Amino acid sequence: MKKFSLAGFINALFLGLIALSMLLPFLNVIAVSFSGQVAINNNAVTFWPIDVTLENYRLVFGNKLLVRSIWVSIVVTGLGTLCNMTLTVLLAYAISRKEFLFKRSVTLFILFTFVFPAPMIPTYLLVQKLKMLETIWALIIPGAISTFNLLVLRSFFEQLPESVLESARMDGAGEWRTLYEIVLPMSKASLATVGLFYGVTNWNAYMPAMLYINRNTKLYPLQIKLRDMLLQSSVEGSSDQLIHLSAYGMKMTIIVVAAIPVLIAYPFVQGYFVKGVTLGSVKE
Amino acid sequence: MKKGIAVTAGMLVLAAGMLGACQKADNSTAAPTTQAVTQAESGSAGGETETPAAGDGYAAPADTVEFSMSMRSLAYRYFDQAPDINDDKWKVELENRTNSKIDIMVVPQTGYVEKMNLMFASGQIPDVVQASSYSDPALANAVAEDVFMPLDDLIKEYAPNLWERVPEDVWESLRYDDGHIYGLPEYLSSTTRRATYIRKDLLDKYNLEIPVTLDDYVNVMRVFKDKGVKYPYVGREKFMYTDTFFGAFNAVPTTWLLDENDQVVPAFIMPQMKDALAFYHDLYEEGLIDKESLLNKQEDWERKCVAGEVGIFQRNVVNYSQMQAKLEQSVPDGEFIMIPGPVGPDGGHGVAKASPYMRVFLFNRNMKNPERVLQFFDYMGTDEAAEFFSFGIEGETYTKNADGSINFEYPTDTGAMDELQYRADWLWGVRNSAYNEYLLPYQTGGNTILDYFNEVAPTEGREWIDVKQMETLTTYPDLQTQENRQEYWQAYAAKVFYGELDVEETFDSFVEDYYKIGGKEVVEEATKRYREGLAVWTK
Amino acid sequence: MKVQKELPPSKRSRSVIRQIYQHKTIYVMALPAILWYIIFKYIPLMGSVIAFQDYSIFKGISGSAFVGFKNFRKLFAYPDFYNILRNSVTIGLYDILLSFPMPLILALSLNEVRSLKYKKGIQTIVYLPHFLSWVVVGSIFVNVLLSPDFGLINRLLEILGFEKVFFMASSKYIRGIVISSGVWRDMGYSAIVYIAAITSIDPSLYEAARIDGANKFNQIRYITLPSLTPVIVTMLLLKVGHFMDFGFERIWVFLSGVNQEKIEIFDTFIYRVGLQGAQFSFSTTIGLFKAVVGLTLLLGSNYISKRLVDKGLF
Repeated sequence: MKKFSLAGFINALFLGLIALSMLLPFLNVIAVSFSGQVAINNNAVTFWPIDVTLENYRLVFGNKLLVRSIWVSIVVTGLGTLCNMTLTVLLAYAISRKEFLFKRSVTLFILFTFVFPAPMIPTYLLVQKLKMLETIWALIIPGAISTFNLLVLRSFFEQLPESVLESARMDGAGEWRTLYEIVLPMSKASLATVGLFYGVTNWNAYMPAMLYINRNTKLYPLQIKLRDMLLQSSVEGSSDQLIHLSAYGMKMTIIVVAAIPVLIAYPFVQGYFVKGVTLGSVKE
Repeated sequence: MKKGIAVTAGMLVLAAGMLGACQKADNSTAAPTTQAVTQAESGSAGGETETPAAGDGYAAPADTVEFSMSMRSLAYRYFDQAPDINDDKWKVELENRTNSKIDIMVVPQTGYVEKMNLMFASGQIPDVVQASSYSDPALANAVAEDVFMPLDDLIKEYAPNLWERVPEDVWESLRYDDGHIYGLPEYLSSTTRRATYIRKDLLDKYNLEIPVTLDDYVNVMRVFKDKGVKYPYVGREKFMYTDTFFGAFNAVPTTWLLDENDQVVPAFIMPQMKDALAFYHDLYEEGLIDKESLLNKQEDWERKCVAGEVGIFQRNVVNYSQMQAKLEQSVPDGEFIMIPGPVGPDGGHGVAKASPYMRVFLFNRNMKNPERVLQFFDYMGTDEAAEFFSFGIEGETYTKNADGSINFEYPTDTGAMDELQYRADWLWGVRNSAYNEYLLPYQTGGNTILDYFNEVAPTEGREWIDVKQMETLTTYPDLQTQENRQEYWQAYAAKVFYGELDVEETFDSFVEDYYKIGGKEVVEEATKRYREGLAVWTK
Repeated sequence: MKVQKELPPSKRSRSVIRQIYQHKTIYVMALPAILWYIIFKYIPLMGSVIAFQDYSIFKGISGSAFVGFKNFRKLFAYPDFYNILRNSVTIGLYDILLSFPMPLILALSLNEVRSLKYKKGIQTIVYLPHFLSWVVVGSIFVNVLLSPDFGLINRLLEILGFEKVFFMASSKYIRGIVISSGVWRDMGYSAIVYIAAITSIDPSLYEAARIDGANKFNQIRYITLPSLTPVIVTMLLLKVGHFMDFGFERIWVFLSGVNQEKIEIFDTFIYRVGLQGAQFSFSTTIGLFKAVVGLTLLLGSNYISKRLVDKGLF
């Protein structure tokens, strides 16, 4: 029997207002991307497109290089996240175990790199020496581990009930099996979180491509191409004749194109944030 | 689930491999040096290589020259259509006509400075490097560090067409502190590049004459405001393209002038800046200038102009056709015209004259056969080249009549326009970048643009002292005068604009503080350079 | 459970080796990542020597002259240095005090929502703004919300009978604007960590508390928060480690002549003034300076955290 709770109502209202403040601008962005140039210039578009047109999208998707860059981003995100997760999970798990003798030193070892960033030129020279320039590996390897994600994952691993791991060891399970069959299934929520963070970072990344990919334009990820297109529609002083293009409308289209896949991905990830998912796998 | 992951991973690795295989085979990190395929290798000039005199037309030398060159993409859309520029039809045609083989590296606009710097840091310096000036941050001080070779002795002999065609004061302005010329310019025949745009239809509607003096302008703006024009005048962030009235007072913040003591000082500490700032503040108070001017990004500013909300604004002359066409979409009877800037108290008008060149092509010191490469560039100074770059290939993209006049139709299709712009602007490299006199007659609104350059531009614009590279400005970067880097002045001007500071009361201390925080050394260096002839008046 | 006997020194080291061997798999697991850190983090880190050099791209690291602390002295002597430092510290503090709790509060509120559909819907929406670039967020705030005549905030003020305010015309509000835009953009995304952590809490704890008569607030106070402490500590200490790294773009989009004295930070300063050619030494110098500050704060906070809640980052 559900009681009506005032506190609960206020809570829901508070959340609703916050969500609304975020939803409305997004609706505006989407509306503008589908609107005609004149309406955009007259600032007439609020939450619904005016003079509906697909012109902006046609321009964006008609660009062969852009379509290809979407594919590049997909590969980088998929492969990259796989690399990220593998390396991160292994290290996070290892240093979360109390048997790991150098826990503190290793944590300090990686925290130091978190606080002290590697300068751009030496990193570039290293990537060059390793012959990764102009290849897809430059978009994956140099940024393979995020210390932030690593330590967040470690804190999740540290909270797993010791008893479960003990009983696994009693049963004679080796570390790999413990990890694979017990720890991972129990950590669905945290793995989903860190996986999402890595996935989003990979999808939104443009710095690595900007630094390491120069001549091989076919390897441009989406974000670089989008930035490029933005510049194309707003270069000052060019005797450009493209009159049916609104730079502002283009900007909004680009945002939508970049954001769509991530939006689609989230509901899948949310499935892991359900209470009790962790507990269900515990063998007591 | 486990099998699914394994399969997906496998497919991704496969895809990555395919993507990797698609990369260009030539991934070498060493910049290829010039290889001339004939005798004259030992660098001895004259004699062996053909050097036609200027005006002879162009005779491509018999040997093929190979070299590498880096050029900024400038965000030209054409590169999306033709991702590998080295196979591009027009580039290949250019190579054929000049008997050359060029490895062009197109440096993307995004992250251009970082990319160039990294390229240099890793030891790769192409034979020819295109930059915006000797002090382009992308060059990371390369000119000072002796990376490039002086060209003065060679140009006259090996690039005679260029030597003739490029105006003499441009060559003079290309002299570095040591007196040598280090680059071939993308030059400007007119250093007045910007115009004051005004809505002719509104002037007619409200029975107004075209304004001439500062007072005329104010009257016109007041009438506009009265009659409901949303923004009689509109500005942009950092006062960019907002200096119409600074020009009237001869207080353009990007310029340097002589003060009463014959010292070279930035215009922003000259006494007339006080009057100019007061003027802008009054415009703000009266609502004659868009209140949010300093918050307008380029898209916002452009949107307001073409939506018909603006009476007067400033823009580059070459954008005229585009602006007019866009205006007509929102306001069918709308009409922009370009007029001289307001005449100020000293009788002058117009904004700062631009630097005489947009970009330079620098030659790597380690280049073999720079003479031959100069001959390649020399092609760009011929009439034949002008025709090629502007119109294309005779019989294919244009035809010629018996009397020599040209039949050409300016493309309307986006792809074709991009291609034309690429060929006539980007590929041409060493050319008059102010406007293309060959193409303009065929462009809608082109004659209006040409008229402006011929009739208004010569008497429009403010002259000033170009101090060029200054060491003290690296030590005191806030005191720079570059368009969007004048930090010290911007902070003050913005506050005056909004009324937070009263210019009458605070201007003197603004000037005093300038000298205190490093301005004294800056002025000393600027004046010294002026006396030594290193800092010169613009033309 | 193992009982550790006090062993003589020689036997102790042998016992260490034996322990490692016994659990060798964990060490093997850690190896690839550690190698990665060495190669891609520590080796380039050596390049920080640029900060102590008069670095020229053309001479390279080996060819550039060593100048000791000259670059640092130049940095400290720069007239605006103390202002920039003050901005970085103030904004960093605001960020910790104001921005840090918001995602947590959001996660806690979401947790109390009973309708699963509403909860999921809100969750998805609040995570959206993170995908807007700072340029867009900036223009949303400057144009849509804060515009002097038609901005939403001003229209609201008008309705409520107050005077309109031109927020962006002075430096009074700019820090608040910069912080709020960050909260608005990232609150939902950062909340995900807490949302995930909350799902790991044993529901039976709540059952027991409810039976004992605890109300919602007490449940949060005595169950949720304590369970979240390790995650909160991790997130907070990591934020402290990057204390002066507020972010270039999020300041840049709001930066203008009239407010730069209040929000200028090191990253925007370098970009803004474009120190022809001297950028690399200088930005490395600044990077080191920021890092030293961050490290000091991190060590200090870690110590305090361990004393307070018995849990630190290391």
